[in-house]
Amino acid sequence: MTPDSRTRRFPVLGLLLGAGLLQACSGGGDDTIRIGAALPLSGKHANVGGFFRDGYQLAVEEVNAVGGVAINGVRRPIELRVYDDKSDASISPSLLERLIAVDGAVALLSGYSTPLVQAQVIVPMRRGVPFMNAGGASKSIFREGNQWVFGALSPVESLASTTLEWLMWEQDQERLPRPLRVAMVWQNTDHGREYRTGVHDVIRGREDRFELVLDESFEHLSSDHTSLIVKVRSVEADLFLSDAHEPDFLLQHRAYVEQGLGHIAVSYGARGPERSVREGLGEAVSHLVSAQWWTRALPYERSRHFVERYEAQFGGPVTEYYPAVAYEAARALITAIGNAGSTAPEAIRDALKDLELDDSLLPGGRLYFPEESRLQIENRCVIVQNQPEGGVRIVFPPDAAEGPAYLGS
Amino acid sequence: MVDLLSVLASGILVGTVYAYMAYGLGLIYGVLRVVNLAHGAFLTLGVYVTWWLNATFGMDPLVSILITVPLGFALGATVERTLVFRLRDSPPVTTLLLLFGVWLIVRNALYLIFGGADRSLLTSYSLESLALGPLTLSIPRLIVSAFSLLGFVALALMLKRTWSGLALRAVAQDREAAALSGVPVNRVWAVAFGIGSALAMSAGSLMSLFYSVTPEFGARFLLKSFCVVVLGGLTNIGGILVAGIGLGIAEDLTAFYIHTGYRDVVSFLVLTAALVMRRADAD
Repeated sequence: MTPDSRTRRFPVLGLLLGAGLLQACSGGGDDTIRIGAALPLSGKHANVGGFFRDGYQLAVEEVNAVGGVAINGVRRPIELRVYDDKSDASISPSLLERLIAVDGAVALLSGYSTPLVQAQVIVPMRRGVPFMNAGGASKSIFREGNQWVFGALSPVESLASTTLEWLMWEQDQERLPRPLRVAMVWQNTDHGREYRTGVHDVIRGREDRFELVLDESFEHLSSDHTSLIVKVRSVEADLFLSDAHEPDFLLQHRAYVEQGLGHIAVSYGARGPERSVREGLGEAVSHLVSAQWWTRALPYERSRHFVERYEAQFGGPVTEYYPAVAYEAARALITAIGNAGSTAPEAIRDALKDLELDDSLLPGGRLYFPEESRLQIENRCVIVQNQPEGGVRIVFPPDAAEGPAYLGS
Repeated sequence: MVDLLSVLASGILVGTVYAYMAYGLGLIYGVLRVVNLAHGAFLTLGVYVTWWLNATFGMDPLVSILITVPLGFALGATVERTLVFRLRDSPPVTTLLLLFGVWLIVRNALYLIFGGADRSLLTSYSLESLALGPLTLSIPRLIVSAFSLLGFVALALMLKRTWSGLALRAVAQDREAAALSGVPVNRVWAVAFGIGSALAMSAGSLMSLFYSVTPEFGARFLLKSFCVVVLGGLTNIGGILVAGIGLGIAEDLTAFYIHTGYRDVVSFLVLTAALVMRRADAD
């Protein structure tokens, strides 16, 4: 060994020793099982990051209230350690490294938004640590041969496919004509492209039911949507489908209303029930139909339990799906740790692969991670419709529907 | 034909918004020869002050201009006096970086105070439109267009008919000659920066009528403002108005007749072409 290489190695050894000491000091030797997450608690996704933290925390508190997770007959408390990645994809992976190397986290929970989660998944895949994703729906997160990343959020395509399933169901009830002329616009991002794929997968071979008369992308954060809406008007469709993030949705629907358009049904993917949307567009969002990964009115015992607990602890009606999916993802991970009978990463991973929650709060009531979809759940979404004066109503699937949908003319 | 008229009308309305948000940038460049990267910060402050006044006191965005204009002037003049003035003989890149820093500070302060959520405000006329034969025109956009034209007229009159305007033009043409003629150059710089910032903040106020409010608001529109200013002739307020309208129409026609996805490409193609042509003229 040359003196140069020796001096280069000393800092590395020092860092490793330091990390070991820190881990020992932070309680790595006790019975506590540590899990962690890097969440956007500040920056542009700060509001959603807070929902995720609350959902994760609630699941951890529930299990700790009974003494912790049972491993081989011994209850061990769970500690959730959360860092703020400031909504910055360049910071997020290093925080996950820290959670694993310094804090001794045995498994990780995801942050929020597809770009941030895409940046995060590199760490658990390289380190071989189970990672439960509740914040990114894009299929691009789940790569070929994936063994470590589990998805509790159905793919974006299911937003589109469930919406079209609902329309076919309405056609079967003879409440909608055949074929339906569909105008579809989508933002030119992974999210928008996957929404489009979902629509195409359903309408392919169903020309008797759907006729796609407009299929066009738009840029994210466009400065105006009027010309696009004029184009939608010109094709004289029965149905208007759009996949847009909130700023584009607000501007697009504003143009839609200003231009005086009307369709049998209008849907902006998952947009519609959010409080911020009502604040920006008021009654103009009444009767919008949206596909949701969860909604508070789902008639499942677990869902009611979550709503009660969440609202008792954090106050106010829970109108967003984020904390519910986060809670369910954390609950699935904790259950798998108990089933694994060990905190070894491989054991937790294998337990997650075998996991089946039959009392899930997600649409369909069941949570598991199929190998054929690269460990991402493929549950159907739930279709809701905004009601005048606020509130939403489930209109599909039929076993959860609270009443028929209002359909325009 | 109705579709074409609708698209043209939309292009004109959008274009006047582009012009309004670019006036201040052009004025500051014309007088100080400074590329004001803090312009995005003033646009963002304008939307936030307006949104906050509306959310807290129910103040109409049109009324809030009475607050954002003087506030923008005071903030702009302060930034010029305390920061830009100190670097006036430094290389242009120094001022550029300084103002970029100002923008980052404002953006991050807004994240800290208000978080990153998209916010929007709703007034009684937010979703109203005016039917003109087969055309449907958005009332909020018509209001902003009217303010844009009013701003252009007021700025043109001020520059041509007042002593301050004369001083601004004199400093823009030749700073040293103006100083020798007794024009208080330092004060003129502060006034120019103040007016430019006031215009940016008032543009932000009005744009809150239809755009959502986030700390990234300025980033969304700063590049578009640069396109309009470069296309319009950097220091020519009339040129900026024409360039804004031209860009709005070009974008909407492209979106309607070619593809919506190419809408924003138009701005940058135009910017590149304008820069290349100016370079060729200079050679």
